[in-house]
Amino acid sequence: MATKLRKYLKLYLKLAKFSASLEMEYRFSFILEVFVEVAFFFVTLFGMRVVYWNVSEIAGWHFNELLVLLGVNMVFTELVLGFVFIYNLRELPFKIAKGDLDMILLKPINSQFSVSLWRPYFALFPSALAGIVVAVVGFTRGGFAFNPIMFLPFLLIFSCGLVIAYSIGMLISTLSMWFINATPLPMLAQQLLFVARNPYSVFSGAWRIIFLTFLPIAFMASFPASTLLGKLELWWLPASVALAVVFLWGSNVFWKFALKKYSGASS
Amino acid sequence: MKKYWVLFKSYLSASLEYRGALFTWLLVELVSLSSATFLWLAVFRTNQTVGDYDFGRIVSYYLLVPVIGGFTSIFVSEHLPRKIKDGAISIDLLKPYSISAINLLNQFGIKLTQLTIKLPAYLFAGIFFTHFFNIHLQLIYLPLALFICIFSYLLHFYLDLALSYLAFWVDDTWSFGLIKTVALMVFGGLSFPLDLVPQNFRLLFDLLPFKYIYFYPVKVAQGGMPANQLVSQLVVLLTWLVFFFILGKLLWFKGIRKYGAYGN
Repeated sequence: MATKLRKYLKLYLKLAKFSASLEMEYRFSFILEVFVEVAFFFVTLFGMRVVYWNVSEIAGWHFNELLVLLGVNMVFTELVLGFVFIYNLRELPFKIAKGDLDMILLKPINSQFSVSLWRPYFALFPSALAGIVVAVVGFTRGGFAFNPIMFLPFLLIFSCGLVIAYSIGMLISTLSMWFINATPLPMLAQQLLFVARNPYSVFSGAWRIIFLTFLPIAFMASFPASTLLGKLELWWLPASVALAVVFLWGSNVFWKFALKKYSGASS
Repeated sequence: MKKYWVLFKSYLSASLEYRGALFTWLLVELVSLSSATFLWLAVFRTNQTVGDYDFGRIVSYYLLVPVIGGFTSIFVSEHLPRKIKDGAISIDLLKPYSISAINLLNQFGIKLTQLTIKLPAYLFAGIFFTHFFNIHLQLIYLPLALFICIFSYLLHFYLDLALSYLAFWVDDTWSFGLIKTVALMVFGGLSFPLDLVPQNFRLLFDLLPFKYIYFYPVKVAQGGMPANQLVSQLVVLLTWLVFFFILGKLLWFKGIRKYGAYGN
């Protein structure tokens, strides 16, 4: 197991290096991409500011707390989009439709790894810094006390959230095996990351259960941000680990099942 | 005229091939609408009104944005700049039709397919919201809003066309559509109703053309806009339309002189 993990880590580092050199060939384009990403983030921020110009709090969240939440969500979203979506899952429906998946299946590498993590997109990582800056601004303006001990549970929930987001993306994108022309399926999964920028407390009734279990977006930004703000509830820790394991396992089982249905599209 | 009719039919059948993709985009929009509804539900748990909006009016705003968008959205800048950059436009230049006319027809074909899929879904969503949240949607102003959508659609088309022609001079054409989306999200009313923005910001929003693509038709559809304001805004919309039409023509004639393509 450890040898296998080391092999994939080594392979991933090589792929990442290759991807970085490819992106750096077009430096102006790279800078423009960073600019566009940051612009999208500030649009979201401005949208929330507009709401807070008219109200003082939303579901118990004041504006400075929301800045922390949006900052955490920005970092989270950029990591998931950069590592998993842009060059990988978004391409999956096209690879299936064109038959390029055949080539991937022939390689002596785990096919789920190949389709979901092959090429990282580095332009998104500098824009994640904007998220960190906004979270720090929220913390400072709000006068919240930063407790370094809270950083460990934050990291655990945040990392589990990343695994959950990856798995949901994989599960939804795998559906393209059946819906050949539904190329925006990964965008549907991506949209959930944007729903996650709402504080968990805005959801009520059955939605609270859905967003905690079947689509656990609460673990993607709301719970990590609450942890940083000193509002950690202990049950979040085992729940996040359990959900990450279940969703990752589920995405793998579903991928293998879908592969059995795949008949190839190339000539 | 016959050649344009034939082209339109071919674009329409091509867009029908991608109805699966259009259906998935519809789901993406519905998830986005749900997200906004959740947020505003939470806002109205502790507030009776926000600005001039009560809950029913804010939900109808977010419901009408994608409906109006179904009529006024344009995606020329997502493919035309690349065609100019790659030289793929050469083949169109040899044919006996106008580039702007075929792009307009192409977008119109896509729109018809989009609307066939979208409108029943949003009608269903409207009925659902009306009953579930006990809100009253006024549809009496919708025909007037749809009439204004014709001009909003043309404004968006010529704005997008002028933006696309910048590809004759600029290399990073992929960013055009994204920059336009950012502008529409902030200044067009896609992300939030512009009348919730404080007065000192509003002058900037009023000076730009983007609000006439989404915000203005949505407000007309919601009703309650005074007649003089409705007419004066329509005049501004038409002025912008003429401006971008002329700008597009100028950029095209300048750009096409600069354009060169070669092959083996």
